[in-house]
Amino acid sequence: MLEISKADESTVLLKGRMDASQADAAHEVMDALTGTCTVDFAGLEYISSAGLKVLLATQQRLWESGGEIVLQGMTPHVRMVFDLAGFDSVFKIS
Amino acid sequence: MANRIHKLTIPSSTRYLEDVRQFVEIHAEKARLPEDSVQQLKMAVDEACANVIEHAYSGNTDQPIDIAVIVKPDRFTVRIRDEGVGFNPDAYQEPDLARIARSRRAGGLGVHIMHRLMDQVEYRQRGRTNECCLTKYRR
Repeated sequence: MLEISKADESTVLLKGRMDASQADAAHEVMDALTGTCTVDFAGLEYISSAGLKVLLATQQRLWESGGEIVLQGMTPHVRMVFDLAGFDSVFKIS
Repeated sequence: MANRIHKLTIPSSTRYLEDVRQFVEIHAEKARLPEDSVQQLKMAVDEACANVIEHAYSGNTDQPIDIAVIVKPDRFTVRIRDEGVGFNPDAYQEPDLARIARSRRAGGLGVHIMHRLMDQVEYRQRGRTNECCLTKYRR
C-alpha cells in the first residue's frame, strides 16, 4: 500500500510501498505537481522500477517548465535502488 | 542441507506483487540469507513478475504465474514460470541510463535492475512455458 499526502503546496510525503500496483495512484498525485517540489521518502519502505518511472516522468515534465523535484529522506535500501538505476544523476537527493 | 522447494501461484495482477515479495522474504530469511540479499531477491522477483504481467500477459489479470523458491546448500533460486509471450534475452540490451534520463520512456529498467541485483539470471523456454530463474549464491 502507498499513502501519498501533501505537507504543503510544494512538499509530497510518500509512505509505504511504491510498486507497479501503486503506479497509477502515484501518477495521479505527481501529475498535479508544478514548479519545484520536494518529495519526502522518509516513510517509503520500498520502490520498484514502476515507481522510478513515475518519478522520472514527473521530473521530465517539470524540467520542461523550469521546475524539478528534489528528493529527501531516503532509506539506505531505497537509495541503493536509485544508485543501481543510475537515477542518482537525474534527481537532486538531499 | 537437503534441497528444498516452496511454491506459490498467483494471478497475473500487480495486486499480488506484495504477496510474492512476502513469500520470498519468508523463505530467504528461513534460509538465513543476509538481509541485503533478502531485499535484493524481493526486488528482483517483483521486477520479473511485473514484466510477466505487463509484457508476457499484456496486462491480462487472470493468467497464472508460478513461483518456486529452490533452496540449495550453495544458492537460493527463485523460478518464475508463465505461459504468455516469451522474453527474448538475445534481444535484450543494457539500457542507456543517460538516454532514459533524457526521455520519457524507461523501457528495460526492470530487467537492468534484476541483472544488477542477482548473481545469475537465466531464461528458458519449455514448450509453451517461459521460465526465468533468479539466483543468489551464498558467500
